[in-house]
Amino acid sequence: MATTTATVGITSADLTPGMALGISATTTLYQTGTTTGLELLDMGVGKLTQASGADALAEALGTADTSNYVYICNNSTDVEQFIKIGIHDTLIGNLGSGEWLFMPWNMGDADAEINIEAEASGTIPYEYAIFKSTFTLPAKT
Amino acid sequence: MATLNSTLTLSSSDLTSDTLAFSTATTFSGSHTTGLSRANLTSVSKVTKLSVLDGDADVADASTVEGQYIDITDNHGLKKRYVFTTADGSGAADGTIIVSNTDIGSTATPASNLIGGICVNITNGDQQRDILEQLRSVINHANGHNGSITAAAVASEANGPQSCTMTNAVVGESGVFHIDAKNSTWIHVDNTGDAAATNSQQDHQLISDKNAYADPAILYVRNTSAYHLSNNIIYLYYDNHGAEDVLEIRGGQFTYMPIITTNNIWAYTSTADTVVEFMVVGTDA
Repeated sequence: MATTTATVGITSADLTPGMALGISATTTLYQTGTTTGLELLDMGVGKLTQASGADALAEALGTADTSNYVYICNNSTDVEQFIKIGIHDTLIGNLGSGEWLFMPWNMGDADAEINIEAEASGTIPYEYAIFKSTFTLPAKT
Repeated sequence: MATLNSTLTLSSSDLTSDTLAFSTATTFSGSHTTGLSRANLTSVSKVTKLSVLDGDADVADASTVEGQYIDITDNHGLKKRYVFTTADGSGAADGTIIVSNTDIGSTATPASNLIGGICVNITNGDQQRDILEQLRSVINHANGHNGSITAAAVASEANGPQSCTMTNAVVGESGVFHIDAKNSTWIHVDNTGDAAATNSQQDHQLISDKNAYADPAILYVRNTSAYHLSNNIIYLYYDNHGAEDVLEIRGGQFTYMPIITTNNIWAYTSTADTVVEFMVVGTDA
């Protein structure tokens, strides 16, 4: 079984005066439980334009609570360009140029797709990775 | 501006044939922060309910409650102060809006902090359940929340805590309301924090204050518990009108993400006494 670990390190020498900030958190990306690691990885790069509106980066299974993780990075170098990150109709946050996010994603609700939308003109390059517990292949047409 | 340096590392030797060794870093300029905080989450529900300590306990002398109040705020921010008046002492009737010369029972010069409050008229011999039921009817009154909160009837009197559940009749809106049980002067409110006690947004943990940061801010949250499928899950939600959960963070998991600051972010849990670790970094709102 695959073992994938994610570590976030957050440091700052000047955010909290007299007390340097140093956070390190590590988690192993398990499927439901603590014995089987996530085995499915969907990753890639893309480009967004404001004209394209909101697009679903990934659809939720909507079948059962599962452990999944989402990584998205806004690779733009233009500080005016950001990516709106949403789960279905709820805006989660605005991902600025050069910034990334990493969060768990429960697919238990079918209306829980991860959607992304470019703001400001031009093209915004992004990269993403989704670590998933399970995947259902689409039906043959 | 202070500089926040953040690095994400993803690694695996067996997820793919190629070793996964991914690392990305970013910097964020922030002026202030909550600091790295931990809070003990006790509320296990988004269901709003107002409870009394002992439903069948008689209140022989209603004047012992006269002038006491409780504040309730709906999900649009409409706040009402419900004030008890005594029928036996000619206090004003249900739904009356208190002005400077409103008779609340023993006096027609109510304290200034009661002016603007909504009268809940109670009687000697009422039980705590009866008082709660009377309050329930005034919440639904035209001068109460008038439908923005639907307060359900209280069950017949019983020994022990009894409650009134509050919901939102508007499709797509949440029933997460704010009952200020901590600052209420009403002596019968059950604010013990146990399963039968009053539960509202006040019992959730404020993670990010919408008034504290400009958009965007950065949020870091970690669940300090050990992993469990159904226990010790931390739920985060924005207090917009829908107040739907946006994140479930199980034991050991963390998130690092941008947040919008037009709404507060609140947390509750699946299991009482789950400790959340969190930090928000941002700039002046």
